[in-house]
Amino acid sequence: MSTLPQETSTLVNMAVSQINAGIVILDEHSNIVLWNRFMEIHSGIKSSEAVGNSLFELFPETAGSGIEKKIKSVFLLKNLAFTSWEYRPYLFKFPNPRSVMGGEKYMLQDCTFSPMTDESGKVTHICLSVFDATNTASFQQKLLRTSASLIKQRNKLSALNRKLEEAQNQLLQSEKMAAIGQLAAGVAHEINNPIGYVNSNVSSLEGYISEMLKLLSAYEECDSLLDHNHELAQPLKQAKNDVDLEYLKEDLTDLISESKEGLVRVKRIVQDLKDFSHVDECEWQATDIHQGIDSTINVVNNEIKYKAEVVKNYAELPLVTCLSSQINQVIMNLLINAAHAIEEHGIITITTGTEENGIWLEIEDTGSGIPEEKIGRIFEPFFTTKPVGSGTGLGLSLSYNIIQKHKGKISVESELGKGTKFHIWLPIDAGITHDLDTGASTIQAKTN
Amino acid sequence: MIKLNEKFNEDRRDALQEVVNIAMGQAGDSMAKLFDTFVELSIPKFHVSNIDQLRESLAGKEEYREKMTVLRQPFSGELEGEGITLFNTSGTHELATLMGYEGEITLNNEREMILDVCSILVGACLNGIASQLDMSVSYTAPSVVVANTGIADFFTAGSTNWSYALVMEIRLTLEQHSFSSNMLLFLAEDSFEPLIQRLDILLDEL
Ligand SMILES: Nc1ncnc2c1ncn2[C@@H]1O[C@H](COP(=O)(O)OP(=O)(O)O)[C@@H](O)[C@H]1O
Ligand SMILES: [Mg+2]
Repeated sequence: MSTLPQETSTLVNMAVSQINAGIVILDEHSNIVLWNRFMEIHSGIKSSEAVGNSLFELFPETAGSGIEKKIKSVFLLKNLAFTSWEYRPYLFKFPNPRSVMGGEKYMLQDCTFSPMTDESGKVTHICLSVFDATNTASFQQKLLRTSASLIKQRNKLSALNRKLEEAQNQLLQSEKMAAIGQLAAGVAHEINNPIGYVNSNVSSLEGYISEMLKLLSAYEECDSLLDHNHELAQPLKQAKNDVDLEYLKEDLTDLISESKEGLVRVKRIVQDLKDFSHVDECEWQATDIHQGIDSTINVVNNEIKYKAEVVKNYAELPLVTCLSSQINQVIMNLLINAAHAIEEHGIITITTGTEENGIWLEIEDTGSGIPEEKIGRIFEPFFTTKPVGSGTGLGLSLSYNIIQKHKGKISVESELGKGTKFHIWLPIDAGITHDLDTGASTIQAKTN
Repeated sequence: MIKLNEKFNEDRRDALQEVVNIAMGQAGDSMAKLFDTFVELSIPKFHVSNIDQLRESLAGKEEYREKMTVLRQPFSGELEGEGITLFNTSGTHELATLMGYEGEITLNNEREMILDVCSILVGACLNGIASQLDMSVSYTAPSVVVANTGIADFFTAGSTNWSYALVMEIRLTLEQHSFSSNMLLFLAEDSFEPLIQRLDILLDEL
């Protein structure tokens, strides 16, 4: 500054004093050498009081927060150091001069530490400039708040959108289900008739064949009588050999029993389809769930007795208003699935209990479990992992719909290799609220 | 590119490498004094590169694939460009004591701290180069560009306003502290002419 002409030097001093920013000059011990008017006004500390004091003694709150290192780095590296209101709202705790209008309590500041060098290039002092960033900051914060609320609104909107999509999907799904239901009911009905007479014919056939075989055996007893009549015996023996009578007898029985098995399967599928389309609807009535479980076990005992031991842990249960045949249907599905999941021999545990105006029952098996990527799909109609012929993939979807209709909940837990547990909760009096709104669907189902 | 390679011919490259080596030595010394610990600065190799080449070369390097916080320190004057500093923020707590922070470290403290390291690193390296070449350089406040992203994502077309730049990669390691950081120093095309002039003066003086 000594090289400046007198007049310019005065002007520079004036500028330092008048500039609308804080200017502080520090020496290498962080002692204040210059304290401009801006600093005087906002700190309330006169230049005469500030000069000669250490920055950290005058403003102890600035110590121990990295400022020393900033100053040291400027001295050592001749670089610039900064503080920004975003990360450090202020270096000096000055009241916000606009606080009359509300807003920030303190002046937000951007500060820069710059090196001042002598002729040899050595840093002798630091010029600390303090800029009032309150306006920019509050503007930016307002912007941030606005964009945050915009984001919130957008999220709300997209959530709504998602819900709408879901609702639409559900609508589509239920329409699809209704169509499938109608189709199923039609198919079931159409198949039922021919299956009926094929079934009775096969039964008759079985009877006739066993009679015929009896008769044939009786004839064979007489074979020895022909021994001396070579002319008669020879062609008979030839004919017997030609048709391979022994094989024929064996195969006939096999064929009949296989056909019967096939018919049972067809009947099961037809029954599933019928159940699925609610062809056999019954009345809402107070039901003893345990009785329902027991009779269902009896019905399916053939399917499970070789596979699993059934363990019952029954609690005391109130009567539950439900469509009992449908609840039985659900239990049956779960039991059969459990038996299917058990490879060699296992345990099926049925546990019941009460909870929150309702009852729950759990059917747990020690079977193969359900892999994670499949568990989300098991309630889908036609989802099955079983070979063609043994699974329709309708059991669980039907069960799900039935439980939904009862305003209940069905959930599943499974561990691969350990087993699977289905949990069902039913309200005690779903029928009361259901009488009205299922009336329509009952009638519709019956006309199917 | 061909023209650029001509501009940065072997003599000039050697001269620049020499300048950079000296600058790194000085920067390492001063930073060691600042942090009271041994500081290692890798000797940078520089290359002229466009943004696609740069992204490709960065994407190919293991150390740039982690998620990092990216800071930028712009500089202007006769040397113009940007220093991009990359931090793996998991090591930043180590820095607190080094940077003279006492007490609990908030996210804001952490940010200011890495901003400080960014401007120290850029300033120390660049000042050394500038003073040897007698070129002026001044700085504006550094800023956080992105937190926790891969660097290659950051250099997408349109994210910078230069087509070619002189790029130097410098790695800072603090001994006995698990802290390290990578810096990419970009000299913008506009600085090429003045830089070459100064290098030629330097070469003439030899
Ligand atoms: N207890 C269980 N253990 C293992 N997997 C099961 C169990 N219950 C159901 N699943 C799986 O869910 C699928 C769908 O079951 P379901 O709807 O009853 O149809 P289906 O029994 O005709 O295959 C089954 O194919 C099977 O993969
Ligand atoms: Mg099933």
